Amino acid sequence: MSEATPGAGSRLLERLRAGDPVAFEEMVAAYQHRVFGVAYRMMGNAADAEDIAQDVFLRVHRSIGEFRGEAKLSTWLYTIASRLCLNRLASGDRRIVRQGEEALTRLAHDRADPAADLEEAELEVALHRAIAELPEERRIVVVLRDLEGLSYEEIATALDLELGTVRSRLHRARMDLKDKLERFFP
Amino acid sequence: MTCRDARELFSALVDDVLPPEGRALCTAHLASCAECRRELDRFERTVGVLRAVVPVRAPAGFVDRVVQAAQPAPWYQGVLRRVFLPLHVKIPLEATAVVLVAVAAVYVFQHTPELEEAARRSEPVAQSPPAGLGSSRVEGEAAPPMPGEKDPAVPREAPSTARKVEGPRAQSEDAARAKEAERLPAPSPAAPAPPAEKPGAEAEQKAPPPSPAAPPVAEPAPSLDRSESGPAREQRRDAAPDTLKGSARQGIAARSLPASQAVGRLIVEDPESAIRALAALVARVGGTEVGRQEAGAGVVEILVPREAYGELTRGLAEIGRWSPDREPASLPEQVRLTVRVTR
Repeated sequence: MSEATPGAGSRLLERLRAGDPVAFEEMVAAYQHRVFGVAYRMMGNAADAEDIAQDVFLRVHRSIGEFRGEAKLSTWLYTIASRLCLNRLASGDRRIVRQGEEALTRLAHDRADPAADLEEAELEVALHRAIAELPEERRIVVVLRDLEGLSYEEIATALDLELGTVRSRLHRARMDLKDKLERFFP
Repeated sequence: MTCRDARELFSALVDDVLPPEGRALCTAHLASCAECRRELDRFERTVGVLRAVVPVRAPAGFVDRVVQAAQPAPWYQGVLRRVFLPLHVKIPLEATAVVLVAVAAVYVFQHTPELEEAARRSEPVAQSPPAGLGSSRVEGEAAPPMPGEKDPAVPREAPSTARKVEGPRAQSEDAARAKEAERLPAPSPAAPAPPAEKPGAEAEQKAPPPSPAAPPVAEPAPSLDRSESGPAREQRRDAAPDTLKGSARQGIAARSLPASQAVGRLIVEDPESAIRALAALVARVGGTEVGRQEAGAGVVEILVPREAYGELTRGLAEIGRWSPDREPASLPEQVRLTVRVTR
């Protein structure tokens, strides 16, 4: 399920508004990885990410009637996910996980020969740590832009920011990451 | 354009959102600045690494868990959640409330005689013939017990002198019992109290036996109370079939009593002299004293002809303050009057 075809998206939205449980399940299946990905990159651990992702979909389920359809459904989902993440981070209510540990674990399981790709693995771990060390308001922008592929305008809508603010924060975030990954790019 | 200005445009350049004039200026600067070209190269590689990150996937079963969580919870789960959650707050509060309610219930029970009485009434009461009371026993035997009444089985332990001093409350109780006795059916004279059980009453009994013409006379009801100890009275009271107390229960018991008996109190300064004056009055009006409970302040049973009843009551008013508790609507030929002489 994607929003590549506006007709499919609007039909899904209509079914959601009608309370069709199958439509809700389809929506969750279609957007689960994206929503979970944003939450995971922001929170740094899978447990918090799943909590937030589930909360995102439950909120959509409860308040689908309030969605006016001016933005894409995916943008609305990113909006909710971003706000929940930022609120959770601001409250300090999060599980403490050493940054990069889960990425290392995942790499060790995913790759047949981790030693062969040691440098690439190190780069990925360093990248995740560098992302995690970004200030939250910059991190969410770079996650939405470079990891999730949202446009500047969509990011501005999701985060309720001015376009210039989005550009500025994105550039600062990328420059921070470049500086932290400099040893990998001699 | 300076190196700083050019590097500020890197993001827009990489994302291809730079306006044409800005792109031209930036490109011109990069062409002349090797350091900025290296920086742009590092910048592009960083963005490239970012965009090449493998997307994170939601854990297996995530969709099912979300769909399950979105199902409306059963009503009882909502109730339980509201009642018990958060546990660390609700449980101590609810435990405290239970303790307070229990304490309040005990307090109310202990301070509500009706409840205690009802609890006692539910306990089994020993069934044995009444003892220690002469004519009152006769009365108890003569009166058919009310449904569920256990009263006749309650033993009476106290001697008749157990209550010499009468307070206002005792007077009111006695007056109520006098009403009860007034309505009791005339007991059989064949059921006198065992002498051994009431020696005091026997010694004080000075009245002659009733004449053959007179109806069988039982000891007046107030004498019941005078020969009963407190616990005995309590048990007797407890034997009532309902939870009513005092006059209400007595009223129920008195439904079977005859209506031809008059009862009243004679309040005097000196009971002994009043009783003597009463005896003289009875003799004067042609009546008969058929029973006397005590030598001092006590109860005197009188039989008086109907035509002499008015003169008798006028004489009583002269002796002391005569307060009839009950008088029959129509006087029988022989009026039986119970006079309680009190201070």
